[in-house]
Amino acid sequence: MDFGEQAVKKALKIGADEAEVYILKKNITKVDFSSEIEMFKNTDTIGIGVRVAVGKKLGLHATSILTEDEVLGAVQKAVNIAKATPEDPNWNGFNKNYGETPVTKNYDKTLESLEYEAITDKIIGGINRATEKDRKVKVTRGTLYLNRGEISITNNYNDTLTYKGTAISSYMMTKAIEGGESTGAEGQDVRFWKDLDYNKIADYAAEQALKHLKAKPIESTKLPVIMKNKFACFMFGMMIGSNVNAENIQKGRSTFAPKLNTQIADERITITDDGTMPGGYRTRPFDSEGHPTQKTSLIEKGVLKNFLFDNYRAMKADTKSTGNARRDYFQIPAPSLNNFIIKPGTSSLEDMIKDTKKGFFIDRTIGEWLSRPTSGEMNATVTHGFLIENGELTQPVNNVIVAGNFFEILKDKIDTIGSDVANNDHTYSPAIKISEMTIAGK
Amino acid sequence: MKQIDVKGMSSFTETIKQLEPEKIINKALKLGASYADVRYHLNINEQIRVENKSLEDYKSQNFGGLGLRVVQKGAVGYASTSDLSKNNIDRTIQEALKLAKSFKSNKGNFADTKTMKLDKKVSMKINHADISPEEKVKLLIETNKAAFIKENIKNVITVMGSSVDYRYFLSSDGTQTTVEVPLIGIVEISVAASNGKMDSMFHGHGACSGFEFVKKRDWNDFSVDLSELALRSVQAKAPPPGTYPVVVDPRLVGILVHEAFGHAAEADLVFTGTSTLKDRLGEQLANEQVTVIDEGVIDGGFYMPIDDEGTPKGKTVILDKGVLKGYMHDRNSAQVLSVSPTGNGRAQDFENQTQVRMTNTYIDDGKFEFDELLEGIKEGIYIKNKGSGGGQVEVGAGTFTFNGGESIMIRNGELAEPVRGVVISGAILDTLKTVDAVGNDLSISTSFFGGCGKGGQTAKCGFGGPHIRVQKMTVGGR
Repeated sequence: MDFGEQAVKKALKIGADEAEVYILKKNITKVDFSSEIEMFKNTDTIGIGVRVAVGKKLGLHATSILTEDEVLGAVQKAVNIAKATPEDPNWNGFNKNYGETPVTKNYDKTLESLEYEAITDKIIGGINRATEKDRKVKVTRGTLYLNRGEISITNNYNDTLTYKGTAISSYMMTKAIEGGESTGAEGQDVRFWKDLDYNKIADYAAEQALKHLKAKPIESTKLPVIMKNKFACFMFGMMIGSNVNAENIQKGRSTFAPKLNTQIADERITITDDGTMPGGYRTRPFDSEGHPTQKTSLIEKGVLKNFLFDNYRAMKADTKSTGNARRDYFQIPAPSLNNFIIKPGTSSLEDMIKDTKKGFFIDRTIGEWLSRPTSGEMNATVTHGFLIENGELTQPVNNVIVAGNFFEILKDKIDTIGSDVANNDHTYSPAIKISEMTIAGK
Repeated sequence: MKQIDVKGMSSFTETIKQLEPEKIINKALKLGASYADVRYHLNINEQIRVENKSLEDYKSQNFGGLGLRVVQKGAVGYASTSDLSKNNIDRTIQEALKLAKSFKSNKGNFADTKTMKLDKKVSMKINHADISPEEKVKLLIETNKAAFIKENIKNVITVMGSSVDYRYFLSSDGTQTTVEVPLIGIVEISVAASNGKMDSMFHGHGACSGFEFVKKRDWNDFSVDLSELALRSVQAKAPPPGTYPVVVDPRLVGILVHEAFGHAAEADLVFTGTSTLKDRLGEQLANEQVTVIDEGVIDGGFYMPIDDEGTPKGKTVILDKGVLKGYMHDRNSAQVLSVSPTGNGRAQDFENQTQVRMTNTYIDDGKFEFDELLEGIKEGIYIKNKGSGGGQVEVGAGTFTFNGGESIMIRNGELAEPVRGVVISGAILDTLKTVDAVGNDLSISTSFFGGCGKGGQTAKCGFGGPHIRVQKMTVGGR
């Protein structure tokens, strides 16, 4: 019997009515680099989270310390907490719909035997690439993460389910010095080692820095704005992801709550959440409660179709989980996006720029995560942008704040949806042109 | 191995004894390391969340494990594990060495430090673990209920976090330290709705303390105050976007100096050329009223007497009357510049290597009263932290941005009408030059929940300063 089943059994024995054990085995190899390798580490952690219910009273205790005594102690602590806390009248039991959806391309076996030298070679290749062709560029900072994880879930209704996944994430920051100084950056989030392309990362990061040597703020104004694909990924993912989240719906924190089956977006907008997408950054056979993952339509031709549920929120709304429970081993599950996918249009980024007489292009920002999904107030400080004049990127721009109301944008200000889909973590979007946004500058 | 539970220090020491850290170090040296250090961390923590008058989440955690750093021909390898069985520790030692052997580097050259044995701790009057779950939940539910002062308050989240962090360090140089730090805090979010608009306000208090910190404060008053702020904010208008003279409150000054300046003074970022402060020692970078300090132990701040490389953290003057005096260092960066390490080598936990990190970074007191800061401002904004959360900096270009909370227009030298929370951004060095008056009301705070992110790690820090006046700052509307 493994730790999970042992812990479930123990919990029931000492007074729990239900128990669930979530075990994460993770191995992370991480490299920090600049113009050379700075730090290199390997970390192995096992985390065990024990959730129990005593009637409708709940408790959670987690530990990373893997001894039998400690794990059984964790069970006792979880039961003690449950017994001491008030009832949750909405509690309706742990997930009983266990199962797996077959998924592909979410585990790279080559990581198991990858030599450390192969990793450093690839990074040094990237560093050299950034500085070649006489580029006046230096790599100032970068990180590579290689994650291998194995997740097992057991509860008193079901046997253990297990899956393995890999995720690789890297970014590189550069600085150009030629007269002035400017920075550049690029990253990539993939599932397979062979897909990590340091040439692409290095070229983009180097070119971005070089192009911004003469960047400056512009006067405050209103302009059409083209969001680069990775920026649109983040902004649409955060704003829509938060508002379709069943937890936010049930807690009065979503403006989408009363709008199911109504037109909330331009009719060219179609968005799905898909936990089964081959090779998707968050593709997995089952969610953090052992519920099978699925493909869920969020917005279909501008009409709001579905919200995203975990087991608890689904029970509360008298519906079915969409397989969107997500947690770390020391947390309780909550609904969260799997892979958020915006359906692309047909225009290339080049054509979108060509078709813009006067506008603004957002390449990279900071503070975009300070935007507020509840009110739709969206803002980002642009560190890398361009003025668009007569169909061309002209003046490089930095240090301006771009702002607008996301819900108005979604419904009435979508000008063009591009075709160049890219992913930023688990969000997938093409470039999107907005007909007007406010720019706070000089 | 014995069970590790909330008995805390005793089980922490027991585990260390069983680990036999000296043997781990010796084994690493025998396998070819020129230097090795071992860290064992145990963090016992708990978080309780109440939402709209009922308990939403009660979770507790024992997070512990071991990390080993080795140096081989100048390269640093680091491996960690939470499985403390003998076999696995042997594997971890080998892994660290394999890593160090896989690349060329000189990051493993360290400045000399005094070898020492040090045990430091913050004494708790009441250990968090000795308060029953019932009592904690009851207090939080009452605090949460108190925030519902009007029908327009739609949603209130109250969270209490508490932890005791134990850190052991032993190096092949012979330095051995232990540090015990309790941390506790309560934060709340209050959401108000009015005329179809919603706004949420965030605030909290925390300290390196036992549960006595919670007991001596009136949390009902705190809740009422926050909801009143949310109600005012949802009705307030945003100021037109543009540039304004601003007066900034101590908490926001703390975030500003941390984000906008502190990161750029971290020596590792200076070396790689990431920072705008490279090659600028001795330069007048700010108005002569501005002195910036990083200090390990200070009232109200986070307790950091020794860093994770066994170096004591004292007081580091970074800007002295506007002149750049030095950077923050770990042992490697100090060696490169031939200076003494400043005790800023910090790791989030045993899974992570040390990096150069801030501790309590603040602007020191100036001479102005608050009213004097407002004088001479025709149209400006008094920006407060209360209600807001977060900021970010692009260290390379020196651009920063952060969220202000409730703010008040300044007209003809006096406070006028409240305006909605604003987003501020600017360039680091430009902003420091345009600080033209520094107040005399220094205050520093820390938080269980907040922290500073760098290189994928979060570090607990202290933030603060007095009120300051900045001649020109970019303000974006919402």
